[in-house]
Amino acid sequence: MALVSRKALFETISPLIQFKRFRGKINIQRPRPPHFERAKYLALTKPYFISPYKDKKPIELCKGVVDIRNKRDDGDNPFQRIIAQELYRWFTTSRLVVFYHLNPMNAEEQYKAYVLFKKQKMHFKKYGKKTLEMAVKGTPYEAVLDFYVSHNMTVFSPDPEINKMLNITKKFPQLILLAGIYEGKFMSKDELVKYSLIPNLQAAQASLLQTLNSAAGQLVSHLNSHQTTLISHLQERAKQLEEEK
Amino acid sequence: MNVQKIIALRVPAVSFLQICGMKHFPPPPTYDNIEFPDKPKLKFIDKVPQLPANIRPPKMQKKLRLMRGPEPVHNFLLHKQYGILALGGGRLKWSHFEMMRLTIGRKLDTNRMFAIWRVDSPWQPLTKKGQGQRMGGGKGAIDQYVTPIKAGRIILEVGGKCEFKEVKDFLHDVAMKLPFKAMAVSQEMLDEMKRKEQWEEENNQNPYTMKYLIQNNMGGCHRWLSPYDFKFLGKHL
Repeated sequence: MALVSRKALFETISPLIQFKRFRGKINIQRPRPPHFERAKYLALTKPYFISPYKDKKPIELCKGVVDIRNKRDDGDNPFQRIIAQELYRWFTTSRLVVFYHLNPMNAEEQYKAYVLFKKQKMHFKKYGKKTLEMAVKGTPYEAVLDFYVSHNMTVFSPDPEINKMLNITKKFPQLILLAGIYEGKFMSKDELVKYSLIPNLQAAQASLLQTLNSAAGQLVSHLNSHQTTLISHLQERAKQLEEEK
Repeated sequence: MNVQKIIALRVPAVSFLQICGMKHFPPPPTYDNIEFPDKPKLKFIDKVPQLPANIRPPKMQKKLRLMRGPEPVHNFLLHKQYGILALGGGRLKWSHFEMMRLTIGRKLDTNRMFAIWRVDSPWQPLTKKGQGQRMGGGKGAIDQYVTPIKAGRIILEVGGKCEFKEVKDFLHDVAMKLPFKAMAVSQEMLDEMKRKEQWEEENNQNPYTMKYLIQNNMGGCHRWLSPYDFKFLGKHL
Protein backbone atom coordinates (compact mmCIF):
# COMPACT_ATOMS: atom_id res chain seq x y z
CA MET A 1 0.00 0.00 0.00
CA ALA A 2 2.75 2.37 0.97
CA LEU A 3 4.44 1.59 -2.33
CA VAL A 4 1.60 3.16 -4.29
CA SER A 5 2.77 6.66 -5.09
CA ARG A 6 1.00 9.73 -3.77
CA LYS A 7 0.85 11.10 -7.32
CA ALA A 8 -1.22 8.17 -8.57
CA LEU A 9 -3.74 8.45 -5.71
CA PHE A 10 -4.18 12.15 -5.22
CA GLU A 11 -3.20 13.94 -8.45
CA THR A 12 -5.59 13.54 -11.35
CA ILE A 13 -5.44 14.83 -14.91
CA SER A 14 -8.34 17.17 -15.60
CA PRO A 15 -10.36 15.81 -18.53
CA LEU A 16 -12.03 19.17 -19.14
CA ILE A 17 -9.18 20.62 -21.11
CA GLN A 18 -7.70 18.25 -23.64
CA PHE A 19 -5.69 19.67 -26.56
CA LYS A 20 -5.90 17.72 -29.77
CA ARG A 21 -3.05 18.66 -32.09
CA PHE A 22 -3.44 16.23 -34.89
CA ARG A 23 -6.47 15.01 -36.75
CA GLY A 24 -6.67 11.60 -38.41
CA LYS A 25 -8.80 12.88 -41.28
CA ILE A 26 -7.02 15.70 -43.06
CA ASN A 27 -7.77 17.57 -46.25
CA ILE A 28 -4.68 16.84 -48.33
CA GLN A 29 -5.56 19.35 -51.05
CA ARG A 30 -6.28 22.22 -48.66
CA PRO A 31 -3.95 21.65 -45.70
CA ARG A 32 -4.72 23.32 -42.40
CA PRO A 33 -2.18 25.84 -41.07
CA PRO A 34 -0.10 24.13 -38.39
CA HIS A 35 -0.76 24.48 -34.68
CA PHE A 36 1.46 26.95 -32.81
CA GLU A 37 3.58 24.18 -31.28
CA ARG A 38 4.14 22.55 -34.63
CA ALA A 39 4.79 25.90 -36.26
CA LYS A 40 7.43 26.56 -33.60
CA TYR A 41 9.17 23.31 -34.43
CA LEU A 42 8.97 23.98 -38.16
CA ALA A 43 10.42 27.47 -37.70
CA LEU A 44 13.24 26.10 -35.55
CA THR A 45 14.16 23.39 -38.04
CA LYS A 46 14.07 25.62 -41.12
CA PRO A 47 17.32 24.89 -43.00
CA TYR A 48 19.89 27.62 -43.58
CA PHE A 49 23.16 27.50 -45.52
CA ILE A 50 26.46 29.36 -45.69
CA SER A 51 25.93 32.27 -48.04
CA PRO A 52 27.72 31.95 -51.41
CA TYR A 53 28.65 35.62 -50.98
CA LYS A 54 30.69 34.99 -47.85
CA ASP A 55 34.44 35.83 -47.90
CA LYS A 56 34.26 37.16 -51.44
CA LYS A 57 36.07 40.24 -52.65
CA PRO A 58 33.95 43.06 -54.05
CA ILE A 59 35.21 42.34 -57.57
CA GLU A 60 33.92 38.77 -57.32
CA LEU A 61 30.58 40.00 -55.99
CA CYS A 62 30.15 42.49 -58.81
CA LYS A 63 27.65 41.00 -61.25
CA GLY A 64 28.36 43.50 -64.01
CA VAL A 65 31.81 42.13 -64.72
CA VAL A 66 31.78 39.62 -67.56
CA ASP A 67 35.13 38.06 -68.39
CA ILE A 68 35.01 36.90 -71.99
CA ARG A 69 38.06 34.75 -71.42
CA ASN A 70 35.97 32.51 -69.20
CA LYS A 71 33.31 32.01 -71.83
CA ARG A 72 32.23 28.46 -72.56
CA ASP A 73 34.24 26.23 -74.81
CA ASP A 74 32.17 24.63 -77.56
CA GLY A 75 34.41 21.58 -77.71
CA ASP A 76 36.05 20.16 -80.80
CA ASN A 77 35.30 22.16 -83.93
CA PRO A 78 36.03 19.91 -86.96
CA PHE A 79 36.38 22.89 -89.28
CA GLN A 80 38.89 24.51 -86.96
CA ARG A 81 40.80 21.25 -86.84
CA ILE A 82 41.04 21.21 -90.65
CA ILE A 83 42.27 24.80 -90.68
CA ALA A 84 44.84 23.91 -88.01
CA GLN A 85 46.16 21.01 -90.10
CA GLU A 86 46.47 23.31 -93.10
CA LEU A 87 48.32 25.83 -90.94
CA TYR A 88 50.80 23.20 -89.79
CA ARG A 89 51.45 22.28 -93.42
CA TRP A 90 52.22 25.95 -94.14
CA PHE A 91 54.66 25.97 -91.22
CA THR A 92 56.54 22.91 -92.46
CA THR A 93 56.62 23.79 -96.18
CA SER A 94 57.57 27.50 -96.01
CA ARG A 95 61.20 28.61 -95.70
CA LEU A 96 60.26 32.01 -94.33
CA VAL A 97 57.52 32.60 -91.75
CA VAL A 98 56.97 36.11 -90.39
CA PHE A 99 54.81 37.16 -87.42
CA TYR A 100 53.22 40.60 -87.19
CA HIS A 101 51.18 42.39 -84.59
CA LEU A 102 48.16 43.93 -86.29
CA ASN A 103 47.20 47.43 -85.23
CA PRO A 104 43.73 48.49 -86.30
CA MET A 105 43.74 48.41 -90.08
CA ASN A 106 41.11 49.04 -92.71
CA ALA A 107 39.93 46.00 -94.59
CA GLU A 108 40.84 47.94 -97.73
CA GLU A 109 44.41 48.39 -96.55
CA GLN A 110 44.55 44.77 -95.46
CA TYR A 111 43.46 43.71 -98.93
CA LYS A 112 46.16 45.88 -100.51
CA ALA A 113 48.76 44.19 -98.33
CA TYR A 114 47.29 40.81 -99.23
CA VAL A 115 47.60 41.62 -102.93
CA LEU A 116 51.21 42.80 -102.63
CA PHE A 117 52.17 39.68 -100.71
CA LYS A 118 50.31 37.47 -103.14
CA LYS A 119 52.28 38.93 -106.03
CA GLN A 120 55.44 37.73 -104.28
CA LYS A 121 53.79 34.30 -103.78
CA MET A 122 53.51 34.90 -100.02
CA HIS A 123 50.53 33.72 -97.94
CA PHE A 124 49.27 36.63 -95.76
CA LYS A 125 46.66 35.50 -93.24
CA LYS A 126 45.13 36.12 -89.85
CA TYR A 127 44.95 33.13 -87.46
CA GLY A 128 43.51 32.96 -83.96
CA LYS A 129 45.22 31.63 -80.88
CA LYS A 130 42.94 28.62 -80.58
CA THR A 131 43.65 27.47 -84.14
CA LEU A 132 47.38 27.99 -83.55
CA GLU A 133 47.23 25.96 -80.37
CA MET A 134 45.54 23.11 -82.22
CA ALA A 135 48.13 23.23 -85.00
CA VAL A 136 51.32 23.81 -83.11
CA LYS A 137 51.04 22.34 -79.61
CA GLY A 138 53.43 19.46 -79.13
CA THR A 139 55.44 20.36 -82.24
CA PRO A 140 58.80 22.20 -82.40
CA TYR A 141 56.88 25.38 -83.33
CA GLU A 142 55.20 25.65 -79.93
CA ALA A 143 57.21 28.76 -78.95
CA VAL A 144 55.33 30.71 -81.60
CA LEU A 145 52.20 30.77 -79.41
CA ASP A 146 53.69 33.56 -77.30
CA PHE A 147 53.18 36.02 -80.15
CA TYR A 148 49.48 35.36 -80.45
CA VAL A 149 48.18 37.88 -77.95
CA SER A 150 45.68 40.41 -79.31
CA HIS A 151 45.44 40.69 -83.09
CA ASN A 152 48.07 39.04 -85.29
CA MET A 153 48.95 38.45 -88.94
CA THR A 154 51.23 35.79 -90.35
CA VAL A 155 53.10 35.58 -93.66
CA PHE A 156 54.26 32.25 -95.05
CA SER A 157 56.72 32.28 -97.96
CA PRO A 158 58.00 29.15 -99.73
CA ASP A 159 61.03 31.20 -100.96
CA PRO A 160 63.26 32.94 -98.39
CA GLU A 161 62.80 36.50 -99.77
CA ILE A 162 63.44 38.73 -96.78
CA ASN A 163 64.07 41.90 -98.80
CA LYS A 164 60.76 41.79 -100.63
CA MET A 165 58.92 41.04 -97.42
CA LEU A 166 60.54 43.98 -95.65
CA ASN A 167 59.74 46.31 -98.54
CA ILE A 168 56.06 45.43 -98.40
CA THR A 169 56.04 45.74 -94.59
CA LYS A 170 57.46 49.29 -94.82
CA LYS A 171 54.40 50.39 -96.81
CA PHE A 172 51.97 49.44 -94.02
CA PRO A 173 52.70 51.08 -90.64
CA GLN A 174 49.93 49.07 -88.94
CA LEU A 175 51.84 45.82 -89.52
CA ILE A 176 54.41 45.60 -86.74
CA LEU A 177 57.05 42.98 -87.42
CA LEU A 178 57.71 40.88 -84.33
CA ALA A 179 59.91 37.99 -85.43
CA GLY A 180 60.23 35.26 -87.99
CA ILE A 181 61.41 31.78 -88.82
CA TYR A 182 64.10 31.80 -91.55
CA GLU A 183 65.21 28.44 -92.93
CA GLY A 184 64.02 26.71 -89.78
CA LYS A 185 65.78 29.15 -87.44
CA PHE A 186 63.91 31.48 -85.08
CA MET A 187 64.95 35.10 -85.72
CA SER A 188 64.18 38.42 -84.07
CA LYS A 189 63.34 41.48 -86.13
CA ASP A 190 66.91 42.89 -85.95
CA GLU A 191 68.41 39.60 -87.12
CA LEU A 192 66.02 39.53 -90.07
CA VAL A 193 67.03 43.06 -91.04
CA LYS A 194 70.71 42.08 -90.75
CA TYR A 195 70.16 39.05 -92.98
CA SER A 196 68.37 41.22 -95.52
CA LEU A 197 71.47 43.44 -95.87
CA ILE A 198 73.62 40.46 -96.89
CA PRO A 199 74.05 40.53 -100.72
CA ASN A 200 73.30 37.51 -102.87
CA LEU A 201 75.65 34.56 -103.24
CA GLN A 202 77.40 35.68 -106.46
CA ALA A 203 78.12 39.15 -105.10
CA ALA A 204 79.42 37.60 -101.87
CA GLN A 205 81.63 35.24 -103.86
CA ALA A 206 82.92 38.13 -105.94
CA SER A 207 83.75 40.20 -102.86
CA LEU A 208 85.49 37.18 -101.29
CA LEU A 209 87.54 36.74 -104.45
CA GLN A 210 88.43 40.42 -104.37
CA THR A 211 89.59 40.18 -100.73
CA LEU A 212 91.69 37.13 -101.50
CA ASN A 213 93.26 38.77 -104.52
CA SER A 214 93.84 42.11 -102.82
CA ALA A 215 97.07 41.07 -100.98
CA ALA A 216 98.75 39.63 -104.08
CA GLY A 217 97.61 42.57 -106.22
CA GLN A 218 98.97 45.06 -103.71
CA LEU A 219 102.37 43.31 -103.70
CA VAL A 220 102.54 43.37 -107.52
CA SER A 221 101.67 47.06 -107.65
CA HIS A 222 104.34 47.89 -105.02
CA LEU A 223 107.01 45.98 -107.02
CA ASN A 224 106.05 47.74 -110.25
CA SER A 225 105.67 51.17 -108.68
CA HIS A 226 109.01 52.63 -109.88
CA GLN A 227 108.47 51.40 -113.46
CA THR A 228 104.96 52.75 -113.59
CA THR A 229 105.96 56.16 -112.24
CA LEU A 230 108.84 56.34 -114.80
CA ILE A 231 106.44 55.38 -117.62
CA SER A 232 103.95 58.01 -116.58
CA HIS A 233 106.63 60.75 -116.35
CA LEU A 234 107.97 59.78 -119.84
CA GLN A 235 104.42 59.89 -121.27
CA GLU A 236 103.89 63.35 -119.87
CA ARG A 237 107.25 64.56 -121.25
CA ALA A 238 106.38 63.15 -124.68
CA LYS A 239 103.05 65.00 -124.61
CA GLN A 240 104.80 68.23 -123.53
CA LEU A 241 107.31 67.97 -126.47
CA GLU A 242 104.45 67.40 -128.97
CA GLU A 243 102.61 70.47 -127.70
CA GLU A 244 105.75 72.60 -128.03
CA LYS A 245 106.05 71.50 -131.68
CA MET B 1 18.16 67.97 -55.38
CA ASN B 2 20.90 68.52 -57.92
CA VAL B 3 22.72 65.36 -56.78
CA GLN B 4 19.55 63.34 -57.34
CA LYS B 5 19.22 64.75 -60.84
CA ILE B 6 22.79 63.86 -61.68
CA ILE B 7 22.30 60.31 -60.43
CA ALA B 8 19.14 59.95 -62.51
CA LEU B 9 20.92 61.15 -65.63
CA ARG B 10 23.83 58.76 -65.15
CA VAL B 11 24.17 56.35 -68.05
CA PRO B 12 25.21 52.77 -67.28
CA ALA B 13 28.79 52.15 -68.36
CA VAL B 14 29.00 49.77 -71.27
CA SER B 15 32.09 48.58 -73.11
CA PHE B 16 32.11 46.53 -76.27
CA LEU B 17 34.84 44.28 -77.57
CA GLN B 18 34.38 42.90 -81.06
CA ILE B 19 35.69 39.40 -81.49
CA CYS B 20 35.40 37.25 -84.57
CA GLY B 21 35.48 33.59 -83.70
CA MET B 22 35.38 30.46 -85.79
CA LYS B 23 31.76 29.45 -86.27
CA HIS B 24 30.75 26.06 -84.97
CA PHE B 25 27.35 24.62 -85.74
CA PRO B 26 27.13 21.22 -84.10
CA PRO B 27 24.62 18.79 -85.59
CA PRO B 28 21.16 18.71 -83.95
CA PRO B 29 20.49 15.88 -81.49
CA THR B 30 19.26 12.62 -83.01
CA TYR B 31 16.70 10.67 -81.06
CA ASP B 32 17.60 7.28 -82.54
CA ASN B 33 17.43 5.29 -79.31
CA ILE B 34 13.79 6.16 -78.52
CA GLU B 35 11.26 3.35 -78.73
CA PHE B 36 7.79 4.42 -79.75
CA PRO B 37 4.70 2.64 -78.34
CA ASP B 38 2.02 1.26 -80.67
CA LYS B 39 -0.35 4.20 -80.33
CA PRO B 40 1.05 7.69 -79.87
CA LYS B 41 -2.00 9.20 -78.14
CA LEU B 42 -3.28 8.52 -74.62
CA LYS B 43 -5.75 5.67 -74.56
CA PHE B 44 -9.33 6.17 -73.42
CA ILE B 45 -9.88 5.74 -69.70
CA ASP B 46 -13.03 4.04 -68.43
CA LYS B 47 -15.29 5.92 -66.13
CA VAL B 48 -16.22 2.75 -64.24
CA PRO B 49 -13.94 -0.26 -63.82
CA GLN B 50 -14.95 -3.48 -65.50
CA LEU B 51 -16.38 -6.02 -63.05
CA PRO B 52 -17.76 -9.52 -63.67
CA ALA B 53 -21.49 -9.23 -64.34
CA ASN B 54 -22.64 -11.26 -61.35
CA ILE B 55 -20.82 -9.08 -58.75
CA ARG B 56 -22.51 -6.11 -57.15
CA PRO B 57 -20.14 -3.15 -57.33
CA PRO B 58 -18.49 -3.05 -53.89
CA LYS B 59 -18.33 0.11 -51.79
CA MET B 60 -15.03 1.01 -50.21
CA GLN B 61 -13.61 2.87 -47.23
CA LYS B 62 -12.41 6.41 -47.71
CA LYS B 63 -8.70 5.39 -47.26
CA LEU B 64 -7.21 8.89 -47.16
CA ARG B 65 -3.88 7.25 -46.40
CA LEU B 66 -3.65 6.41 -50.10
CA MET B 67 -3.14 10.14 -50.72
CA ARG B 68 -0.80 10.88 -47.83
CA GLY B 69 2.97 10.77 -47.86
CA PRO B 70 5.49 10.44 -50.69
CA GLU B 71 5.13 8.17 -53.69
CA PRO B 72 7.63 5.32 -53.28
CA VAL B 73 7.22 3.51 -56.63
CA HIS B 74 6.05 5.59 -59.60
CA ASN B 75 8.29 8.59 -59.02
CA PHE B 76 10.60 8.44 -62.05
CA LEU B 77 10.19 8.80 -65.82
CA LEU B 78 10.22 5.52 -67.72
CA HIS B 79 11.25 7.05 -71.05
CA LYS B 80 13.51 9.58 -69.31
CA GLN B 81 12.08 12.49 -71.26
CA TYR B 82 9.18 14.68 -70.12
CA GLY B 83 6.12 14.32 -67.92
CA ILE B 84 3.86 15.77 -65.26
CA LEU B 85 4.89 15.43 -61.62
CA ALA B 86 2.37 15.68 -58.78
CA LEU B 87 3.66 17.91 -55.98
CA GLY B 88 0.81 17.19 -53.63
CA GLY B 89 -1.64 14.38 -52.89
CA GLY B 90 -5.13 14.17 -54.33
CA ARG B 91 -7.68 12.22 -56.34
CA LEU B 92 -8.05 12.04 -60.09
CA LYS B 93 -11.62 11.80 -61.37
CA TRP B 94 -12.72 10.65 -64.80
CA SER B 95 -13.23 14.26 -65.87
CA HIS B 96 -9.58 14.99 -65.12
CA PHE B 97 -8.57 12.01 -67.21
CA GLU B 98 -10.68 13.21 -70.12
CA MET B 99 -9.26 16.71 -69.85
CA MET B 100 -5.69 15.37 -69.95
CA ARG B 101 -6.41 12.93 -72.79
CA LEU B 102 -8.09 15.52 -75.01
CA THR B 103 -5.71 18.42 -74.34
CA ILE B 104 -2.62 16.35 -74.98
CA GLY B 105 -4.23 14.61 -77.93
CA ARG B 106 -4.83 17.99 -79.54
CA LYS B 107 -1.33 19.34 -78.92
CA LEU B 108 0.67 16.20 -79.70
CA ASP B 109 2.43 15.87 -83.07
CA THR B 110 1.68 12.18 -83.66
CA ASN B 111 4.45 11.77 -86.23
CA ARG B 112 7.23 12.32 -83.74
CA MET B 113 5.74 12.46 -80.23
CA PHE B 114 3.86 10.03 -78.01
CA ALA B 115 2.25 10.06 -74.58
CA ILE B 116 1.57 7.34 -72.01
CA TRP B 117 -0.43 7.11 -68.79
CA ARG B 118 1.45 6.46 -65.58
CA VAL B 119 -1.64 6.17 -63.36
CA ASP B 120 -4.38 3.52 -63.14
CA SER B 121 -7.85 4.16 -64.42
CA PRO B 122 -10.28 5.11 -61.63
CA TRP B 123 -10.82 2.15 -59.29
CA GLN B 124 -11.66 3.54 -55.87
CA PRO B 125 -15.44 3.93 -55.44
CA LEU B 126 -16.60 7.15 -53.77
CA THR B 127 -20.06 7.13 -52.28
CA LYS B 128 -22.40 10.06 -51.86
CA LYS B 129 -25.73 10.42 -50.17
CA GLY B 130 -28.49 12.20 -52.02
CA GLN B 131 -28.85 15.96 -51.66
CA GLY B 132 -30.69 16.95 -48.50
CA GLN B 133 -30.53 13.43 -47.01
CA ARG B 134 -30.30 13.25 -43.25
CA MET B 135 -27.63 11.25 -41.46
CA GLY B 136 -28.24 7.52 -41.13
CA GLY B 137 -29.88 4.99 -43.40
CA GLY B 138 -26.69 3.23 -44.36
CA LYS B 139 -23.77 4.19 -46.58
CA GLY B 140 -24.55 6.22 -49.65
CA ALA B 141 -24.57 4.92 -53.21
CA ILE B 142 -21.47 4.88 -55.39
CA ASP B 143 -21.23 8.27 -57.04
CA GLN B 144 -17.97 8.00 -58.97
CA TYR B 145 -14.64 6.25 -59.18
CA VAL B 146 -11.32 7.99 -58.54
CA THR B 147 -7.59 7.27 -58.50
CA PRO B 148 -5.74 8.37 -55.36
CA ILE B 149 -2.41 10.10 -56.03
CA LYS B 150 0.47 10.62 -53.63
CA ALA B 151 2.93 13.51 -53.77
CA GLY B 152 5.86 12.85 -56.11
CA ARG B 153 3.91 10.66 -58.53
CA ILE B 154 4.34 10.89 -62.29
CA ILE B 155 0.88 11.27 -63.83
CA LEU B 156 1.75 10.93 -67.49
CA GLU B 157 4.77 10.95 -69.75
CA VAL B 158 5.35 12.57 -73.09
CA GLY B 159 8.26 11.53 -75.28
CA GLY B 160 9.56 11.24 -78.80
CA LYS B 161 11.70 13.33 -81.10
CA CYS B 162 11.07 16.61 -79.35
CA GLU B 163 12.64 19.02 -76.89
CA PHE B 164 11.29 20.13 -73.54
CA LYS B 165 10.55 23.61 -74.87
CA GLU B 166 8.02 22.17 -77.28
CA VAL B 167 6.03 20.18 -74.72
CA LYS B 168 6.45 22.44 -71.70
CA ASP B 169 3.57 24.74 -72.59
CA PHE B 170 0.77 22.23 -72.92
CA LEU B 171 2.08 20.08 -70.08
CA HIS B 172 2.01 23.11 -67.83
CA ASP B 173 -1.53 23.92 -68.92
CA VAL B 174 -2.63 20.41 -68.02
CA ALA B 175 -0.73 20.48 -64.72
CA MET B 176 -2.49 23.68 -63.66
CA LYS B 177 -5.91 22.10 -64.21
CA LEU B 178 -5.26 19.10 -61.98
CA PRO B 179 -6.85 19.05 -58.49
CA PHE B 180 -3.46 19.01 -56.75
CA LYS B 181 -0.26 20.99 -57.21
CA ALA B 182 1.62 19.65 -60.25
CA MET B 183 4.39 20.72 -62.63
CA ALA B 184 5.77 19.82 -66.03
CA VAL B 185 9.17 18.16 -65.68
CA SER B 186 11.98 16.78 -67.79
CA GLN B 187 14.57 14.19 -66.80
CA GLU B 188 17.19 16.94 -66.36
CA MET B 189 14.89 18.82 -64.01
CA LEU B 190 14.29 15.71 -61.91
CA ASP B 191 18.03 15.04 -61.69
CA GLU B 192 18.64 18.65 -60.73
CA MET B 193 15.94 18.48 -57.99
CA LYS B 194 17.47 15.31 -56.55
CA ARG B 195 20.95 16.77 -56.64
CA LYS B 196 19.74 19.97 -54.95
CA GLU B 197 17.92 18.01 -52.26
CA GLN B 198 21.03 16.00 -51.52
CA TRP B 199 23.18 19.12 -51.41
CA GLU B 200 20.76 20.84 -49.04
CA GLU B 201 20.74 17.81 -46.78
CA GLU B 202 24.52 17.75 -46.63
CA ASN B 203 25.10 21.49 -46.29
CA ASN B 204 22.36 22.41 -43.87
CA GLN B 205 23.92 24.55 -41.12
CA ASN B 206 20.93 24.15 -38.82
CA PRO B 207 21.81 21.42 -36.29
CA TYR B 208 18.10 20.92 -35.57
CA THR B 209 16.08 19.00 -38.13
CA MET B 210 12.56 17.64 -37.76
CA LYS B 211 14.01 14.14 -37.92
CA TYR B 212 16.30 14.87 -34.97
CA LEU B 213 13.60 16.51 -32.90
CA ILE B 214 11.09 13.75 -33.57
CA GLN B 215 13.46 10.86 -32.98
CA ASN B 216 14.72 12.33 -29.72
CA ASN B 217 11.31 13.48 -28.43
CA MET B 218 12.68 16.96 -27.94
CA GLY B 219 10.31 19.28 -26.13
CA GLY B 220 8.00 16.37 -25.54
CA CYS B 221 6.78 16.53 -29.11
CA HIS B 222 5.68 12.89 -29.02
CA ARG B 223 2.62 14.19 -27.14
CA TRP B 224 1.18 15.86 -30.18
CA LEU B 225 2.87 14.23 -33.18
CA SER B 226 0.66 12.17 -35.45
CA PRO B 227 1.67 8.62 -36.47
CA TYR B 228 2.32 9.99 -39.93
CA ASP B 229 4.96 12.35 -38.53
CA PHE B 230 6.90 9.36 -37.29
CA LYS B 231 6.77 7.92 -40.81
CA PHE B 232 7.31 11.04 -42.87
CA LEU B 233 9.32 13.04 -40.29
CA GLY B 234 7.56 16.31 -40.88
CA LYS B 235 8.19 16.42 -44.63
CA HIS B 236 4.69 15.40 -45.72
CA LEU B 237 1.32 16.04 -44.07
